[in-house]
Amino acid sequence: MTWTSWRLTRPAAIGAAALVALLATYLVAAGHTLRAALDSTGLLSCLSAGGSRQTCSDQAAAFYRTLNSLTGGQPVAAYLVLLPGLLGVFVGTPILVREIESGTLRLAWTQSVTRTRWLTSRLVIAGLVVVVAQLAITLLMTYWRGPVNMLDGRFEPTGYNIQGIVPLGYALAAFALGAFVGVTVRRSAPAFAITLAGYFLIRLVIENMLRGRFMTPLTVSWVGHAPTVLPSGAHGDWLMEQDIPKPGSGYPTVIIYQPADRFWTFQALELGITVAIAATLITLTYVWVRRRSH
Amino acid sequence: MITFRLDPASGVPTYLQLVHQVKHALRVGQLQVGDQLPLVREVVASLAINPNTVLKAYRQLESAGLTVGRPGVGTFVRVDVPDQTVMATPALRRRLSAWVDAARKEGLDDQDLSALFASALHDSVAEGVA
Amino acid sequence: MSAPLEVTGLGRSFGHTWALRHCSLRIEPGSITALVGPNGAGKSTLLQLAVGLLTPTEGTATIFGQPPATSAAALAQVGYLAQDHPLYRGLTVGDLLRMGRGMNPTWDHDFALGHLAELGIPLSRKAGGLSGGQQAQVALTLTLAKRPALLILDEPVASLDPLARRDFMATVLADAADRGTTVVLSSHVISELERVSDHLVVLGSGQVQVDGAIDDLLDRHRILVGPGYASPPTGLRHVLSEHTTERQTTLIVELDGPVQDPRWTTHPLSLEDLVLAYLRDPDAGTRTFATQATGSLS
Repeated sequence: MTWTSWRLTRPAAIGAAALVALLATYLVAAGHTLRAALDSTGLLSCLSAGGSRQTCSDQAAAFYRTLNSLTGGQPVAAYLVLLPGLLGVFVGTPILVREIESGTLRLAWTQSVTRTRWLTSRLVIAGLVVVVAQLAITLLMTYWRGPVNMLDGRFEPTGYNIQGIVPLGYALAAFALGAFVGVTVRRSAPAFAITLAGYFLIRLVIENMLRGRFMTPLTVSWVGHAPTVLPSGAHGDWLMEQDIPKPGSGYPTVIIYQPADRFWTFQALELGITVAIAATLITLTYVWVRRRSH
Repeated sequence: MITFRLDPASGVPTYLQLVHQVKHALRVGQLQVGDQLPLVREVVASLAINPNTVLKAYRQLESAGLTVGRPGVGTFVRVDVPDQTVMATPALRRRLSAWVDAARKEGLDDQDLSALFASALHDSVAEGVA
Repeated sequence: MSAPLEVTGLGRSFGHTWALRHCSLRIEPGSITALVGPNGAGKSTLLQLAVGLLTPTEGTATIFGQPPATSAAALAQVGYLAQDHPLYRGLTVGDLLRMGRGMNPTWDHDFALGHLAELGIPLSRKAGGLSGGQQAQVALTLTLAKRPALLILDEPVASLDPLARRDFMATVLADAADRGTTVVLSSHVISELERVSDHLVVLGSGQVQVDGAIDDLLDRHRILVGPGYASPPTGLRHVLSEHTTERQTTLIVELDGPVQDPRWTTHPLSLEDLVLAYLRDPDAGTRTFATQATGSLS
């Protein structure tokens, strides 16, 4: 059964490997160039001498020019955010829906293997492909993003979404959603569409409605002279809201933020939520496969 | 060894067709004492027919005393059928040939001949019953 | 010993429509049963319920006394082949055999290799690149190499050309001859079934209309031809159809004994005519014919 599951997952695995290889050629080269630019623009030495984004603005501008020339002005990071979900959807959805459509489920389910075992084998093998591919993608994205972290940190949404353990959680949630929608919708095209839409819904709800509330954000506010140490992306803080009034208006300047040391707590919480969603969907898939007819 | 064939249009049950073919082969000397009949599996695979049909035909041949089944080996011809029919009566055969020639001269074709023969057979059976 | 397949009061509805209802059957070991009926009569539904691909809405199905598809052991006893002979098209024939071997503890690899070699189907070919007849044979090989005690074939030859049909059925029947496999096969083409099967089940509009040994059925049913507007002779169990003109009355009947009335002549009925008569008979309930009289034609 294991060999069969692997053989049936192989095309998806090859696709995932091709995706990783394609990403690697771009991200490794771009990451390397950015690292070199950190040095050549003098940004690294300016920052390590205790400078901030404001005081090193010339060097930062030069660095961003290099970044833009590499990306051609495209928001590459925003595209990379989509990858975990797409990976999960395209590996997870076909597992059941393709077999239902091609009638091969009737072949698979009349071998001397119970449906439960069959499903476990298919999900574990395909799930491993997702995990391995996603870990490789995360490593590549982290390498590429490293130099930008120096300026923007990794806690603001774009950096947060492509680094750490959160991408893996989203890949697994998309994978499980694909499997479940596949067995319930039973037709490929709508199954893919519904899975993608469902995935983005889950992602938007977590990112925009839940993430900011994992822990109560901290607030700094002042009138007149600013404190010497302010929360900033370069320190790894997530600046959620900045209220800067007109100078001389008498209103305080307010910064609401999540401090850098909460990064892994947030990542762990978000991974927990996405894995719980995945587990629920996988459980529902089992229930469906066992109770429902093919 | 004989090869079976089937005539799906004959209306004769399949197993009877097999029985008739063995009996015919015995009459014309194509099968002799000690000869083996095709294995059930061979008949089934070559004609694509139900194995139970072949078994039924073989059982009937056996119960008629014409063959004997040796478990695990096959079915063998047990007796010589006395050559009393077609081959043994050249006089009858000559008269039938003459009749066929005469009928052809009258313009009858093969189907007409068969029909005429069947009708004569039928009448004689009916008279026998009456 | 439990019957290879037994269904009791079996029914399955899809939405508000019953595809099959009040179906009771018992398949005898070693028999080859033809399940016939028009399209939409519930044949596929019955067979899929029997192998556990569908779950019953009411009633039960058992295979050798066990509910189907609940354990690996129960699955191993049944070979099922769907009408479209599904195969993973992207896999080679060799891959498919390896799959069968991996998923079936009772797998007979030598048989599978030998049979495909006999048919000249190369193991390196992708399933999607084979002809329809070859795909059917590969799917059948996968089913037979499992060495099932019960073989369930859903419209197995409907999509095949005459030569492929013949080869396919020869493979099935040779397996039955070799191993005594019980076979249930459905078809809406009756003409070819007479030589292949020994038992007949007729399904019409989701219900069993006839169930019995074919020899027995043919023995019990006759066409009666008699004078115009004559009432049927006595001693009939059931009149299936009646067609009468001024000069002649033609009946299709189930006999209870010999017809004594000299005004009526009897003629044998072909299996196809018999099936059609039952499918057209509005009063036909379930008619089950005991199998004790196998061989009564002799």
